[in-house]
Amino acid sequence: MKKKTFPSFLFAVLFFLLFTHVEGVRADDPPPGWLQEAARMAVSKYEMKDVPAVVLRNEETVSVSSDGTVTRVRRYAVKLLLREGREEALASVVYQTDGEKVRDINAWLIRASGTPKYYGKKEVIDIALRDNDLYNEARVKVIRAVGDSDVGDVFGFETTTEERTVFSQFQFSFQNDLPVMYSRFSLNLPSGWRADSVTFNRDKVEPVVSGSSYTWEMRDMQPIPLEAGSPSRSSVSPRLAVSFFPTQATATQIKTFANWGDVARWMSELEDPQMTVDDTLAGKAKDLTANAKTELERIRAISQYVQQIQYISIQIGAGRGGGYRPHTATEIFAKSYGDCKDKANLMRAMLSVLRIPSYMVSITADDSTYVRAEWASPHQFNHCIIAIKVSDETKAPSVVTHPTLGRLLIFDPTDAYTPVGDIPEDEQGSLALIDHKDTDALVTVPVIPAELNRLDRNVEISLGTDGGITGKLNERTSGQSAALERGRSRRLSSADYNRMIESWISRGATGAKTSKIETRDSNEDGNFNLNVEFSAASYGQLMQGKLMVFKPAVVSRLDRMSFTEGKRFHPYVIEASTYSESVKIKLPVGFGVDEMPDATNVETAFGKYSTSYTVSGEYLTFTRSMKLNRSTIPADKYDSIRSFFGRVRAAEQAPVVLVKK
Amino acid sequence: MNHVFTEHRSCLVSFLSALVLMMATTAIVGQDKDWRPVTTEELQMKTPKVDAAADAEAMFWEVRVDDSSPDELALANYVRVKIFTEKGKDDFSKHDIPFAKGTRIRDVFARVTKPDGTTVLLNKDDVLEREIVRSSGLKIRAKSFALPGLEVGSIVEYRYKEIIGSAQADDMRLIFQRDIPVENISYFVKPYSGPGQSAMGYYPFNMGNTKFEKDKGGFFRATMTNVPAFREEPSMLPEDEVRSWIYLYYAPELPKADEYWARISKMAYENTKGALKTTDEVKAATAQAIAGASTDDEKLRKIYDFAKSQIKNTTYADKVTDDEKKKVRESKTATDTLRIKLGSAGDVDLLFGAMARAAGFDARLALSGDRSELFLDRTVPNYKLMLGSSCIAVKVGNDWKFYSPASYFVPFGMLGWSEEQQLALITDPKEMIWQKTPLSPSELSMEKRTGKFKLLEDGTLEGEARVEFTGHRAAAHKNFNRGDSAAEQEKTLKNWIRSNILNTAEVVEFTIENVSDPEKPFVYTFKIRVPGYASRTGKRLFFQPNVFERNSKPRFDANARKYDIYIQYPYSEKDDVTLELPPGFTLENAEAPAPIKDAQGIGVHQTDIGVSKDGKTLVYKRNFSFGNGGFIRFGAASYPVVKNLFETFNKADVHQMTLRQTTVADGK
Repeated sequence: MKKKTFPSFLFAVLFFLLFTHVEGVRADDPPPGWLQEAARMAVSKYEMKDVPAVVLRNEETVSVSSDGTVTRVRRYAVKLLLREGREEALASVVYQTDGEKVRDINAWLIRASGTPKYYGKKEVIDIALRDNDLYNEARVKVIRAVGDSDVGDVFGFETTTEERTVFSQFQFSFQNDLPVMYSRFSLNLPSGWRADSVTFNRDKVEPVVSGSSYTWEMRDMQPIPLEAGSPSRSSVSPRLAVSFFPTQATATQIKTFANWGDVARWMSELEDPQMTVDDTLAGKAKDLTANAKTELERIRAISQYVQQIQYISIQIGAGRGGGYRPHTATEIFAKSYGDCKDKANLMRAMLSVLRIPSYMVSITADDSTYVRAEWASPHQFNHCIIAIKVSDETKAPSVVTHPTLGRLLIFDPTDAYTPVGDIPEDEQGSLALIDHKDTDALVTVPVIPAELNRLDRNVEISLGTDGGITGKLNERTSGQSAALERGRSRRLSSADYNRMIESWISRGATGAKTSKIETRDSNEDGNFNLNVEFSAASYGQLMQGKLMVFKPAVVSRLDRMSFTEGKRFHPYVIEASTYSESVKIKLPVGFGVDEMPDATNVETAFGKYSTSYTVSGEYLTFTRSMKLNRSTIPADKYDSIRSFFGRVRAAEQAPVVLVKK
Repeated sequence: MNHVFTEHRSCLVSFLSALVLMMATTAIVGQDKDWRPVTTEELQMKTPKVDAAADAEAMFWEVRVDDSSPDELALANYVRVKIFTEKGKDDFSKHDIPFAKGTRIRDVFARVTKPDGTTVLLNKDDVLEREIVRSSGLKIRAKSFALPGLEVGSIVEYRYKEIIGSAQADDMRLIFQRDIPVENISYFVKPYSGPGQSAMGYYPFNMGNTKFEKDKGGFFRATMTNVPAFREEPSMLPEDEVRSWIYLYYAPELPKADEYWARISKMAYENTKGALKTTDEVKAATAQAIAGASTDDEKLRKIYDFAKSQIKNTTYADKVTDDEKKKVRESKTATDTLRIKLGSAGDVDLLFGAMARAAGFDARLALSGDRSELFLDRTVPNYKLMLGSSCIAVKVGNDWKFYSPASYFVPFGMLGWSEEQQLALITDPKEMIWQKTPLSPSELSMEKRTGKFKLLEDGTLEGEARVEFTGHRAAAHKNFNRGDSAAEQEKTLKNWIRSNILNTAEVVEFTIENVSDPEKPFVYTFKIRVPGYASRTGKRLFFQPNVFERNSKPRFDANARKYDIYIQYPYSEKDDVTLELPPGFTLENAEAPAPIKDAQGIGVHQTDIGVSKDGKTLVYKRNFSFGNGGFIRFGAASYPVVKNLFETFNKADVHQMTLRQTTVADGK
């Protein structure tokens, strides 16, 4: 299978290039003054332990000429504080082969002893940035000095790139996760041009302005620790967004965006002409919906077709906005493959055949907090979905009401596992742009209620006198829980999926053997069903010949969440979900219940958890349920999460004691 | 051993050969431009033939390896795959053909035949070429294409030619077992037919009765049918020992195995004679090193210690300067190594050998296989394929013993695990000396854990512990932690503790000892607090006395298995736990799990549980070993037995005990 073999081949080559020792070539070249100066800086002490490295200088200078040529000079210096910090001894510059050139890339290592080492052209590795795309003009040049470096060394690099672009906006991260002592972004514009800026995640950084030159800077930034359940990095690290505006007379090819209306119009001008329809495409749309009776059924039929179109990405002409323009719908239909905007475009074209209006929607995938309203820019988006205009007859939690376009059903045709009516978790609550000329503001993508993202499980167990069990399990998931299960079942081969289920059952019931694993995926309601039959010897432990102890939570005990760190720096983000389970256990002949755990009821603002135990005749029924609300818990309320999940854990570990009658 | 062709060629561009080797696992081609007809039966096929659960299955997979040209090697593949599921569709939607400088990719064709019989051909313009990576002296490009109109039930076909300049089919692997099941896979090989003496030969691995047979146009053909997909399983033999593949090579003559190895033995002996020479410097250093040693064992241990402690082993050392590397490259003999106090792993072994000679022993280089890659088979006369490792054989009395101070973290008396229990060729100018290297017994690779804990009334566990690793287990831990900062080492081990005990564990006052020491046990100590360690009901407290195994699971959980089970080396565990019980509670049961031992004593598990006289402290002891008697490989057929044995071990490890509340604790 080529697809699998290729990455391993590539990896082997990259491994050879990146992890083999790099020899310097001009050891006698002195590092530039700015780097020597940075290397002399006294490093701060940080409250957080184990900081691997500190960034001494993080600087980018952008110079724009009146013909639209943009020259960027980046300077970066980092001091390595721990062995793990050696990974930071890496210079990189991303560029587009279409219209952008890396004029220069140089790096230096100043050892703790003061001895410098130079890295130049011979050490540069030029790599395709995205290995998975069929074609992508984005590349990265890298110099890696990891093998040479050690604790106490300072690594620095300087890159110069030049491009011709239609864009007039820049983003700059003052910091990632390492502490930074000095960070600066400078913009030099032709005379008379002006710039505006927005600062994210910090108070506004005001520029120092000198004529048409602007400089924004920050100093002495503390490290940003990586913690489980944290908000995304883009929500916590300080970032700068800058837009510049030429005078009327110059640089007419440069596209400026004063507000979201500008962005929406520009996007729709790129996208709308691509929504082509021919007879074949129209015929297919009609065939697919021949049996659909309602508007929602028609949309669902088209959505399912587009979802199964292969995701293939071909990125050309990004510097000229090519990254935002889909292929024509007829071309995508003929080839049966495309990327996110292609899929949205094809769906839009097919819906148009049915006279259902729809619009392309720009959004950022994988991070619902990334897009900010205060900076009107297409650069905030990396993904494209669709908004379908629906009548009042279509009811779905994914419908949003737009002030001018009316009721819009939001849908992501690239996500093959989330059906119409639901929205991928990482897009819920995100700001997004409807790419239509009448749009002048972002919309908020609906958040699907916790009740619709649920897992309901029924387990029937028969417990033998020797402690062995046989059981049947039925699990029904909906919403994003179903999407998760659906994704697993489709991404894995059936053998691997069965292995995964076997392992899952075995985690709760050691040595379990599964005799039946069945799944049923409902296109109509979006639910996913799993049925498993299993058995396990010695599930209950016999003691003293008269007691039998067992845990009634046989599968998926919620005991894997841990909150061991005493202190937390960031808030904890909880996604909305609902879970319930009923376990009906037939008790072994001759045994009665001696002891049962007490019922549990824990309720907080962010969640609710309860368990119950009842005995009726020869059956014991155990129930548990949990509902988590979409919340962000402040770091100073960390104890409330620890306490909540600590009680959940204790309840799920609690055993039942049977005694021989 | 099999030979099919007699030909000649000499040069080999090693990198390109390696690339060919990698590409051969995926490559394609076809001399003709016509597609073979798809039959109605193929089109209507609803379920796979080889593996009913397959997502996609190759109907045929053909590779033509044409080595007849003196200037280039041509690979031509033609593959036909039936898609059965969405996953199969995903897997075959995109195709990449990577190639290096000097290689040309030509005649790329692909087509999709849909279930209704219509075909969609790959447009020539849709074959995209891109540069994957470029650096000084290296450029890798790729031709890529997406298959148009692909849907479940489709038949995918693709073919292309790969022409590799200045390369030949020597040292080349032909992979018959792929990642998907294959109904019929054939390699056609046409050896070089120009002037010269070299012959082409091949060795089949896990190929059943498959042989190369003469085909048309000067090609030889080897075919396998109904080949299942290759899938990794936990605790399995190295891939080369289970996968179906053929090794191709050229040799000046078709050697007989014994003659070949005798020649290799002699050559290696002669080649290392100079390196092992006992010069005055070596003699002087040896005399000083073994001063005070009276027995052979003591002398060899002192030399072993010297080679490890006095020579910087640049293969393992954290910091090696450019100057040191240069010196090592220029070093030729043990005397050089001694002078510069530096050496690669191989140099360290040779110095040990030279000093052993200086101490009066017969010491030789011994060549062996590598159990982590491919086992040495003396019937296969090919050193490139079979020799994966080396050590020093020393004659002590009448016996040959094996040493390798080059393996920095392996203690005296042991070899690295992958070098143990391997056939070794002890180099000799006249005779062939084959001997198996020993396998270290389980007690030499031990995890010894001691803990003193206190169980609180609410189920929290508190206490301190010490964990010590020896032998191969210590080497594994040291290698894993090597190069990490102390903070990172602590993080790694804390995570390990949490995954073994309970992920609520709060670990403090952590120490790690001997991470970089070549021989001492790898030790860590810590204090721990584990909320929710024990489960509480109204009147009872349930707890697991073996704290260290609190979270353990059986080694195997899959219902079935295809390949043999293979444990790297015998190992053992020894636990010693004291647990102070909470006041107001008494033990309801103090039963210990019954001893577990299979008929041959391969796995032995013994647990002893006692209570102090005052009833306040529980004393738990556990001894476990596996692989005793050198049994580390078990047939796939015995999987249910082995799985059950490990489940029984686990059941004993997670044995629960009960405390019953007698009075309400008053804190006194």
